[in-house]
This record gives sequence, C-alpha cells and structure tokens, in this order.
Amino acid sequence: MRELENIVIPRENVNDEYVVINSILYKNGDKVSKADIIATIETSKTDFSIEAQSSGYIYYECKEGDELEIGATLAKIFDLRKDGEPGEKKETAPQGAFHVEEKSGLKFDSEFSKSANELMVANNIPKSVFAHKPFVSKDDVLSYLKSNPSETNKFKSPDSKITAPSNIQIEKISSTKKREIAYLGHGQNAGLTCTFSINIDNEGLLDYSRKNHKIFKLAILPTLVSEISRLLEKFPILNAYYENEQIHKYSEINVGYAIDVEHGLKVITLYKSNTLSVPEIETLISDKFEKYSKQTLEISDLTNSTFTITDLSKSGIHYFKPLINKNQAAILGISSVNFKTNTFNVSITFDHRVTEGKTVAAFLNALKNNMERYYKEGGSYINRKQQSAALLKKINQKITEGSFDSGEVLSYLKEVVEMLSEKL
Amino acid sequence: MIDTNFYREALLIRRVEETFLHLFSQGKLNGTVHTCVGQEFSAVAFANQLHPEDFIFSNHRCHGHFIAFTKDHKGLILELIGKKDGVCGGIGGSQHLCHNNFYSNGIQGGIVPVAAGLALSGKLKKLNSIGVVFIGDGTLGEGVVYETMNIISKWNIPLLIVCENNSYAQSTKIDNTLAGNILARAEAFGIKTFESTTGDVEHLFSEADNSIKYVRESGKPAFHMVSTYRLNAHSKGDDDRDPHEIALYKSKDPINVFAANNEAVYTELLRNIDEEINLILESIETMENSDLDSYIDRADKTLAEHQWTEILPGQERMVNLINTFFKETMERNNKVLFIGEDVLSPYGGAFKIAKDLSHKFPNQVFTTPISEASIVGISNGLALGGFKPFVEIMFGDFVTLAFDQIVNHASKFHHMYNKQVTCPIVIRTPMGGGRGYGPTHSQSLDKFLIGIDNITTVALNSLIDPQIVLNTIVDEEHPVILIENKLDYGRSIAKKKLRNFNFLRSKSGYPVGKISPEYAEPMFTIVTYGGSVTATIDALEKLFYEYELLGEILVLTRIHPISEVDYEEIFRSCVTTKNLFIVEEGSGFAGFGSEIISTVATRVKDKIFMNKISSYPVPIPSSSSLEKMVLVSTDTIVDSIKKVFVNA
Repeated sequence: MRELENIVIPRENVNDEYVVINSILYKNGDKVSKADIIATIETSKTDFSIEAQSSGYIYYECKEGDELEIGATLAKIFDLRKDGEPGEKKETAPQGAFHVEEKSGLKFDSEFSKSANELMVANNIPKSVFAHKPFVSKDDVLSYLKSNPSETNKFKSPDSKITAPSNIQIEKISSTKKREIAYLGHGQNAGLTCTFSINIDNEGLLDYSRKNHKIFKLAILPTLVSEISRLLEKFPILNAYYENEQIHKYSEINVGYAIDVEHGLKVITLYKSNTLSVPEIETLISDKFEKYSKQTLEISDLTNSTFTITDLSKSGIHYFKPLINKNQAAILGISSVNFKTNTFNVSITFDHRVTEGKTVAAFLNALKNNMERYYKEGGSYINRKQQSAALLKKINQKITEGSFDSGEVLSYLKEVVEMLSEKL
Repeated sequence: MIDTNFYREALLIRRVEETFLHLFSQGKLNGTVHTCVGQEFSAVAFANQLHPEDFIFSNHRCHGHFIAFTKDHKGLILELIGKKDGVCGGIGGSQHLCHNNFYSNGIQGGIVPVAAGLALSGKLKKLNSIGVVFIGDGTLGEGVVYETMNIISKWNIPLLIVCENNSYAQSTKIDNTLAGNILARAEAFGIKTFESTTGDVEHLFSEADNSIKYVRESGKPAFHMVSTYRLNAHSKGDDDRDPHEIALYKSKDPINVFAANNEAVYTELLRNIDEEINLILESIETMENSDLDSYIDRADKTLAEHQWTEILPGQERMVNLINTFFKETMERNNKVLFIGEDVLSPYGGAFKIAKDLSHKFPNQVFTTPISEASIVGISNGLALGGFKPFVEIMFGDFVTLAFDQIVNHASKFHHMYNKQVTCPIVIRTPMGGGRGYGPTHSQSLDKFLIGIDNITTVALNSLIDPQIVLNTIVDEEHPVILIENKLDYGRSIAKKKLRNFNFLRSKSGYPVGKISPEYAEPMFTIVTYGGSVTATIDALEKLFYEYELLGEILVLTRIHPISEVDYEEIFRSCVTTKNLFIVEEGSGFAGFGSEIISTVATRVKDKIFMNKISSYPVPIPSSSSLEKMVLVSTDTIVDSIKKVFVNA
C-alpha cells in the first residue's frame, strides 16, 4: 500500500497558527477522485475547501471540530484500502461521539475526557452543562461551544431551551459575525486598550487632494496611508502584537484598510505600503475596492495586515474609539470633518501591553504635523522635490545672470539638501 | 506346602495371560499386554492375605494382581476384548483397571504417591486398612518414588511397596541402570524392608503375611522386594534375552515344578481352567461394545441467560478472604484438607493463605517436604479416598513438577475407570510477575493448564469475591486447578470503581464480571481474567480519558471449560462493539486468547475485529524496568487498543 498524497493544512495568512476543521466530507477508506473537496476548514478570516490532488482511498487524521496546526496532516490518500481495519462500528460512529440513550431526567456525575476537560476550563464552561451525559468528549464540548461561544456564556443559562419572552425576537448571528466577534475578542479581551486622539487642521485639505491625487480627488486617504506607513518605520512598536508575555514585531508594514459597504466589514491588506508611492497606493486601494464589490477578494487580500486604518470620514462621525484587530497592537480611526472647527479627528486605540501613551502621543503629533505641512506648507516629498527643483532653477538663473553670491547660493543649496534628505 | 487353591489361582492367571497372548496374535485385542507369566505367585501371595477394605494399586503388568485380588478374570477378559461389561467398559483396557479397591495405571512411578494418598485416606478414616502398591525394578528410576518414600516414612502412612524385581526393565538389564542396592534405598528412608522370591513360594507367602501384618499393626510403611522372573516378553514379541537364561527360569518356575510333581492334579486343574476360559470366550461373541454417548459428556446447551448483580467494593484483602474461606469450610467439613509446603502456623505458607489453619485444624493441615509431584499425587489418592484436598503449589512456575499427576492421573481416573470414581482434588497456585522474582518465579503458565480432560481451570481476580468461587469449587466432583495471582493477594475486591461504569457480576457459581459504560454504547470489548483484571480496568479508564474510547470488560472466572452462558455473553458484546480484545499475562501463543478468538470466529457470523494483548514471549526479566516492559501493562493495553481506533 502506497501513500499517494499527504494533505496538510495550508498556511493562508501570517496571523493564523491554527485552523478549525469545519466538515469532513468522506469516511475513512472511501474512494476519492482528484479535485473532490474532502474537507472544509475555517480560518480566522473565512472558510475554504480543501481538494484532493490524487485519486485513491482517503484516511483522515482528524475529525470535525478539531483544531489543527498549519502544516499538520489533515488526511492521507493511499492507493489501496488498509487491511486489518477495525470493525465497521468505527466507520458509522464518528470518533468521540457515543450513542447515549437519551433518557430524560437522568442526571450524571459526568466523566470528562482530558481534551474535553481542557476545553471546558479554557472556556469557563461549568460541568453541570453536561449533566445529562455520562461521558463527555471533546466533540461534545465543541458542539456546545458552537452554539454557545464562550464570551457570552458566563452569564447565560446553560439550558438553551429556555423560551424567550414574547416581546423579544431572537436571531442567530451569522458565521461572519461570529468570526468577527472572536477576532476582535483577541485584542480587547485583555481589557488593556487605550485610545488617544488628535485633531488635524482641515484647511487646504481638499485643494491638496484635488491637486495631488489621481483617483481619490476628495479624500486625504491615500496620502494618509502613505504617511502612516512611513511613520511606522520610525515607530515599529506600533507594528507588532502581544502574545504570551512577548511582543511580536512584524518585519513588514502591511497597512490594513477597513471597508464596510455592501458586503460587510472587511479589512483589506495593502502589502508593504511603506514602499509604495501615493499613486501606487491609490491604484491599490481602488483595485481592492473593486474586488470587494465584486466579492472576488482572495485570502491574501484579507490576511497579513499589521496595522489597521478605519475610515469613517464620510460617516458624519466626529469621534470614535476603534477596536484593535487580532494580532495587532494599534488601529487608527479617521472621523469626519467638523466644519465648525474645520478639523477632523484621528484616534488611535492601542494595546497597553505593547506600548505606552508617550509613544502613541508622539506618533500622533508627528502624523498631525506632517499632514498639516502637506497642504499648508506643501511639505510632501513631491512638493519638496518640486520646491528644491524650483530652488535649483533659481540658483542656475543666478549663475547664468552672473549675480552670483556664493553665500546666498550656499544657503539655497543647504536648503535643498535639507529638504531632500529630510524624511519627515 | 501351600494350599492347592493357590496353585490353581496361579495357574488360572497364567492361562488367562496365555489366552491374551493368543488372542493378540489373532488380532482380537486392541493394544498390547504385559503378561506376568512366571511372576504369578507374587500376586497370589499378597492379594490373598489382604482384607477386603485394603486396596491394591498396580502398574502395567497388573493382570495377576487383579485376578488374585478381585477374582474377576471374566471381567478382565471382557475388558481387554473391549466389551461394555468389561471391568471398565473397555475404556481402560489392560493397564487401567478399577474394581473393588483395585486400581492400576500405566504410569509406574506416578502410581506410588497416589497409592500413598489412598492409604493415608484409609488411615484418616480409621479403617485399619493398608494399601499395597506394586512396582518393578525399573520403577526405581522414577524420582517420585523416592519423594513418596520420604513422605510415607515421615507421616507413617500404611503403605506396603512390593517391588517385583525381575531384573529387566523392558529390555534393559537391571545392571545397566540401577546403581547401588534396592533395599538400601528404602532403608535410607527409615522404611522396614522384607525380601522374598517367587522361587520359594512358601517363604514368599509367610513373608508376605509378615510384611502385611507389620504395616497394619505398626501403621508404618514397608518395602518388600520379591525377586522373580517373567518367562515372556515385556509386552508382546520383544524379547531379546538370552534363551538359556529364560530356559533356566522356566525349569525352576514353581507352576512348572508343581506340574512336574503333581501331574494328575495339574492336568485336571488345567482342563478345568481352560474350560472356564473357553466358556467365557464363547459368550463374548454376543456381547456389546461401549457406546460413545455413555462415554462422552454432551455439552450442556441450555441457554439460560446470566442474571446480574452489582459488585460492591470489599474491605478485606484477598489473602484474608481466602484464609477465612478455609477456616469456615474446614470447620464445617472435616474432609477438606490443606496440603502444601511451609504451611504450618505461624508461618502459614509463602503467601500466608494458610495462616492459623494448622493451629485450628491440626488433623486437616499437612505441611510437606519440597516434593510437588508427590504431594499432588498423594492429594490425588486422598481425593480418590473420599477427601477434598486443597494442595498448594507455592509458585505457579513449580506446577511443572506436578504435571504428570495432573495430566496422567487426576485428569484420567474418572473416564478411564468408566466413571466409577471421581477425583475431587483442588490444586491451588499463584501465577504472575511484577515483583521482580525473575524468569522461574514470575510466569503465568495458565495456557498449559487449560484444556486438560475433565479438569476445570478457574482463576481468581480482583473484581469478584473469591469466596463465591471457592464455595463453588468445594462442591466440584472433578479435579480443579485454581490459579491465583501474587499481586492480587494484597488487593481488596473491586477497589477502583470507574465513574459512570456499571460494575456487575453474574449470579453464577463462577461469576462473570462485567464493567460497561452507563447509558452509552461501548466501542470495544475486552475479555480478560485473573491477574490482568486490575491493569485492564486502569486501561479502560485511561482509554476514555486520553482517547475518548469507551469500552466494556468481561472478566471470566472459569477459564476452562467456558460455559455456554459465558460464551453467549461474549458473543453479545462482540456483536455490539465489533471489536474484541483479549488480555492475558502469559505470552499470547496458543493460549486463552487464541481459544476465545477461534470460538468467536467459528460461531459468530458478524465480522469482528479481534486481537490478543499479552506479554512478550520471552522469559520474564528480573530488573524492574525491563520486567515492566515485557509484561502486559495498562500502557500496552491502552496502546494496542488505541492504535486500532486512532490513526495518528
């Protein structure tokens, strides 16, 4: 008997180390053909299917509800069925699920398996939840968790058969929402987040956008993305995340941009945004937006972001505290322009386990200064280039005219050098 | 000059023997005959001076002894021809006779301790009887003879050993194989000796009278050597002895001498005897042979289902429970005897099972020398004599020394004697390793003790109260081998209860234990017994906790023969779970597990996955770490079962 294929859990994003096995579509020993979908897995972002690449007999090394590590073997395909297989019983009864006679009213001092116990403890599930079952497996706990996610469980009665009072309508949340809740739980669960905000002067902003942006004529966004991305090079601590008493710093800057229009809230990743020019960023955002609308976003579009920007500049909201995303240390929210003060608010919620107020304040002040210089002083690099070009022209003119004053020229040159070498 | 009737009897014996030889050459006898032609007077002298309550135990050359003691030459002839009305229905044949206190067996050394036990039973019953066991010069090569001489001398057992020394053991002259002096052997054990020869019949008769009287009056054993000569071959046809030697003895033969000196009387006697024999032979034509149905016991097919009751944990350790059983039983029944090495109080046996017994029941406890073969043989004899002996073999490994007594004696008596006798012996012994005693003190030799004809093999375990089992054993008519476990001695019953598992036992004399999950269907069945039960229960717990595999355990107490009801329970479980594992501490080959698997395979139609879990087939090492790895353990049970279900 030969092994034809070892199907492993693929790594689809930088964030996830585990996936959950959603469904197993065949039984051990079944014949599968190439391109058959043999299982679906759930990552922190979305569900996707795993296809067999060979035809043969499949044997799974996991079961529904299992959490598997990236790279772990999900299943193997062999050219022949295995000999000496255990009795038929095993195939009809999924592992871990015992046929328990449902005798109403019987209460047990339940016996928990090791993995069931671990899950119970991790999710704070009281043992009384399973009092109707003499033996509780990990599967049982996972099934329970699917309908009773652990955050809401603390206060809810374990008996899910309680009938709601008549003035309440009950709707089950979508799996997307469930995922979002789990996701946001990561950053917020520790309860150590803090939000700082700063007001940025709006004067000249629209003019600037109109003049300097190709696609987003009415929004400061692409420049903001560019600016933030490059600022993060100076503030790497904000391009990181906390886990197990350790700070994990990302080696790349991939700013994530949150979109929530007709297809739900999604964060699209702008890879290596610190190396992109503003026009490139514009194009990128525009492309991703189109994919969002057409719902053709891929896993890579939705994963691996290291810092998120959430843009409510069109919403009329003057101030909000955004929630940090999973495996990030900070998120920046853009509010709408307050026309009375002619400013708009920018706030950062940050994870206090990673950094402190002083750093974040410095970041925000730097951001404000830079942004205001863009359209007040035309302080963008492009403008600086244009300005230094203008200066050089002036010097040239002076030299051609013969009104050469070395002191003056020197000071102009100094200015040029300063301007060009200044990163901020 | 001795009575003519004795000459007649000697002649009758000779003529019957010669008839057998003739019938053999005609092909009318199945098997062979070992004739005692030339030795007849030895039989006549002893047999006729015994009392009816005395017994004779003889060997393969027993026809003369039989005829002289029972007077049933007709029964003997019918037996050898294989007729239903023969002494033993044609089943025992020439060498295995039983009738009116006469016994014979074809195992010459082994009969000696059995005879000693039978003589001891007479002494305990105060019958004032003695026993005579006939051996030959060749028998003196067997060790068990000396073990027995030691014991009969020490215990004052009224046994007369008659050694018919005809100088040949089959084809081997005595000089080649016998060192030293025959009588000195007995004297070395402090046994009084007597000596005669069939060449001097008168002296033989008076000496026989002397030795018999000595044994009866003193209650002590004696050894009487009778020098004699057999005129025919050892059995049939194989006689390479010097013809001159044979001719010489023939001329000195007492019957021939009598014939020569009393021709008329002799001729008349001969004619009379031959006529008698011919009548018998004629009548045989119309007689029936034995039928199979009366010989074999048809298995009981009644399918009563087991009734179950809950197992409650006990407080007492098993050693105390067994000890209490003996105290209560020996009190009520003075036929129950406790026999073993080192069993006297205060020591009370190597594992203390016999604690205080010899203080309380001094006449029912026998502490023995280190002679496993002999003490089991003596117990066989005591059992034949109406007692219920429990003989303890100190370590299961030593049961090998008593194997002849188990297989060729205890197992055979009831059937070969055509169900005229039962031998309710109980042989108890602890098996099992785990204490680092090493290769010859740690074995589980169970597989060699199951499947022996007519022997029930039972194993105690830590789940079932041993007193239930022992009380059933007390009522058994036939031999029982009781396997105990060294580690279990210190355990109490059902100490560990698994939560949400039912702990039940069947309400039968040899209860089946059942541990099954409450309100959940098990995924696999484990069948086990004896010392492996504790590890199996631990494994069941671990299999759920670590691997979420739920199973049920069936524990057998009687491991051979396994009753129909017990099998039905095993089948029911297998059909439900479709996965069967058998756990045993011995090595797996050709043992308990193989037997169960073959039965399930032949009788259950469903496809069931089956496997044995046992120790490595290698002598058990003494070092703690290695012993743990060789012996079957909780971990090996868990691994073997888990790897069937969990593919990782």
